[in-house]
Amino acid sequence: MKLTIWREGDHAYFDWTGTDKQSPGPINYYLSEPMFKMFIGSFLISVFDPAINFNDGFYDVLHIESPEGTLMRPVEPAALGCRTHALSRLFDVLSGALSINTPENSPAAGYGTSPYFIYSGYDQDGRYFNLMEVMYGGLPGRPIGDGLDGHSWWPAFVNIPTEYLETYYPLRVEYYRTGKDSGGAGMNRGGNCNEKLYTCLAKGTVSIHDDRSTLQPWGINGGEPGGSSSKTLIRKDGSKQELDSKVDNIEVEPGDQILFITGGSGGWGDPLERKPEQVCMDVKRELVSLEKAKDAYGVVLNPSTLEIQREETVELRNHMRRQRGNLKAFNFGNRADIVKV
Amino acid sequence: MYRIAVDVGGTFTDVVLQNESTGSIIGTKTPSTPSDQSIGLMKGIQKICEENDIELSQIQSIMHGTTVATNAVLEGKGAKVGLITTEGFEQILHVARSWTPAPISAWMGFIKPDPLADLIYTRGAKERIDAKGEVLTELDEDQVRSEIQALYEEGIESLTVSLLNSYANPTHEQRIREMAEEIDPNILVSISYDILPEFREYERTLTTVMNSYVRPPMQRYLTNIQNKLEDLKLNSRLSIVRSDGGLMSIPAAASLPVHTMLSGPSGGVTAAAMIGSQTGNRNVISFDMGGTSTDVSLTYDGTPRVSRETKVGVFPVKSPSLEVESIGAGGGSIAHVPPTGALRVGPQSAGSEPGPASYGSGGEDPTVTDANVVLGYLPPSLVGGEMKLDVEAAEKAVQKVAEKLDTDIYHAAQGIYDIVNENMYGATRVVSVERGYDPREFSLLALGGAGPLHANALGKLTGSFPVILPPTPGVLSALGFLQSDIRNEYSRTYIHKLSHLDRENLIAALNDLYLDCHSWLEQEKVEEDQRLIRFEVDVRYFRQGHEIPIKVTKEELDHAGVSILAERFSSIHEQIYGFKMDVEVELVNIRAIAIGKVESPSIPMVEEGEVDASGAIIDHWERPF
Repeated sequence: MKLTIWREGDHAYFDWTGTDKQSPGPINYYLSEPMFKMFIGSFLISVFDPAINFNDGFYDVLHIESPEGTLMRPVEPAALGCRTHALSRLFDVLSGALSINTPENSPAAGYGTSPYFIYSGYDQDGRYFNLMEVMYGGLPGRPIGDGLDGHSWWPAFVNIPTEYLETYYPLRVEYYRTGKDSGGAGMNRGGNCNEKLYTCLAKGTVSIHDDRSTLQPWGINGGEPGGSSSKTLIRKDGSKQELDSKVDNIEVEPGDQILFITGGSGGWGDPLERKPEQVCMDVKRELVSLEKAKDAYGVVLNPSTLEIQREETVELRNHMRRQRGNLKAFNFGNRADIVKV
Repeated sequence: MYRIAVDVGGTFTDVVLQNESTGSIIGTKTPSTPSDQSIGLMKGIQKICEENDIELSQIQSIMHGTTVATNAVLEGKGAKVGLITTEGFEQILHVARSWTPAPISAWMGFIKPDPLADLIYTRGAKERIDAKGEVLTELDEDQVRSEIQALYEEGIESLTVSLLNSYANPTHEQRIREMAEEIDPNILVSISYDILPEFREYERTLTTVMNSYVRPPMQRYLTNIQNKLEDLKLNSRLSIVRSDGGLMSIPAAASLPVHTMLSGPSGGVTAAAMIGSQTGNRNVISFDMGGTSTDVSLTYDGTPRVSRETKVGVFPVKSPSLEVESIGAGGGSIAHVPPTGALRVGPQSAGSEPGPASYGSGGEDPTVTDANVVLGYLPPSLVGGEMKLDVEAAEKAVQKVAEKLDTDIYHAAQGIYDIVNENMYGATRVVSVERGYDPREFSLLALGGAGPLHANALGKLTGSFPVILPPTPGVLSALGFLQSDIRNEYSRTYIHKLSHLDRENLIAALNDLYLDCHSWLEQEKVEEDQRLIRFEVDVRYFRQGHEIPIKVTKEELDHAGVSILAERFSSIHEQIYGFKMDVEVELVNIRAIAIGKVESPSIPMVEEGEVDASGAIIDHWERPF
């Protein structure tokens, strides 16, 4: 996805030219112009004046260009079943484009997807069941503070209570928590991802579509990138199979498990500026590991008491500042290794 | 004999005295004492008795609305709470429901408060129960004992136990409580099954933790009051007002303080419903406009709406409360023009200090009160000449906004007035239109110090008629307490599709709750002939995410069977959402509401007046319109 933005007088231009051609697979997303304008306006309103009464008065000063036949403006026939990933990701792209000149005003990249766990089959009473559960991930470090661990970027969505799932579907949730260290380091920490381990209790099929399994969500304004997603099938005999982010109709038997890990998010600002007390609290709460506290934040904690070692911390942070180069406005992590431009 | 109602608010403690034989009422106000609310409470009681020549021994009962529990949460002054949950789910309060607010991108400005039981004080118990209540993993008592000991060593003051699926089988929670009490009997333990035996683990855990969090400060407060009452040799029965407008005894409130979070606002709603009914307007929308905020509520056919949820800050506590929509709009709301150029009113408020510019206490920002002065809706002197308003200061303040808008002070003042009215109108739509009610079929009742000044304007916007201005609008919350009954609820999750529901089974389950209600009313010393038990079942279409409470009686079930629930649900669904579906219906929760009727005489009515209103004129003043 490629977005170029510029201004001419009192008008703003958003151009998707350079975005890849549409896909034969179901990842296309038909971006409606008025909806995109709404997204742009909503973003700007949230950043500058959240009390504004939402209205479409600004539509006339925004101009959108979306070339036909591309991922964001496919022509028929085009499969759109997994369009929610492009939809989610375009917010990171939009926010990134808007923050090129002022990275301090913007958040880092979020989990940028809409992860789905789909499980269907027949339960022990012979009744058909079909679960499609949406999950969440890391909301990024932002100008006003830390991101949020395992929360929804899409407003007013809520997770499904485990007690609801276990009442209506033949499954058990072994654990439901956030992924330690998956939030990018920053003065304002990126939010961690969601991690859920399911045990399937009935024979059936599992399908998954998620994204961000390869590229990391970028950090901003000196912040570091966050963790990417992963899915693992653990057969009841203990053997493990890594799954792609999009898989269809995996046969499962009772006792098979799915480990569902979503995307983390990027950090905002220089990790070495994060107060040692905050890093210490992150470690005590098991949201950040002892190792990451040291390696990314330069905070040395006593391994048994978790007390801050003040002198070592000052020394380590000075050392890290000398060793590293300039802080990056955008830190894309592993992208350079993966995307050859 | 007399009854006294006391509502402790942020700034003022309102007191209303009622003569039990004549029903007549008289009110007074005294400044609140936030450091120890009971000081203001006792001062208020003594003041009203002195002012009316009454001995303390003549007070039969006292109804008290307090904000001790809410303040503890909003100010972060509650107990240090430890939480024991099922292993694997320790982050239950941290992740919560993953919810972020609307609209799109609003998460960027969303500050989420820390959980009331911090992650560092949360431990996972090695145990597991499934959704049917079957034990999958036995409780590892040694492991849990050591976790509890570790938490107690960290200085936990209050322990909550909330395990997955405990609503279906409480035995593990009960055993853990036993063990905790053996380790240290002085530390209060709350188990989720006792507070809310309904499914949905986050809400159950949150509500139970909230109860643990506010219990110590609430207990200290109640003990304090009891001692003070004893010192004064007051024999009156003291009741604490609940968020749903009901009353609880001191022991009940000490055990379940989570149900008292919104007692103040509930009083205003109860009073509005009562006044509405007495004046022949059983449908009434009330708005209580104070200095900083306005609370709006709706009463249909004489009954205020009870919500299954109480919003305490951001926390969706599953405690019943009278549905009140609150917005930042009041007499002290500050008018301002942000860089984006449109006039805004509130939610920031000048409060009582420095207050509106016209109060002459150093306030310089233009407030709603100042706009009312400029427009001539408020005369230069109030309270029978006791209070003078500085008209020049008001004009100077409004001029600041007028300049930014490139207009004169009268248009600016009109704009401030119109916008605060539109904001309140928005709140009335939330409680009416968004719930399937047409505000044109309701009357509008104004409460609070600033309410009456905006009542007609708001009536024009909503189309509600008539507009009702009660006497003593400033102390109406306390008045509402006088109309309250003793109340509590017992519920449990009971998930059954209607087609698979055995009527006898359901009636037996309701009967269990019925017995719980009677034994609680017995503890509250309510005579048998004063007891009333009502039933509700929460119903939804099969596998939906939200349910609707439906009233039902045992007789109706006996007579018409369970199909009556489907019919009732269908029509309520259509009323609220505008449509119904041809889908299976299921029961989710069942509930019994225990009511202990309290005798409350009606307030005497005055004779209807004449059309000629010249007797109401208190001042003459010229202003441009």
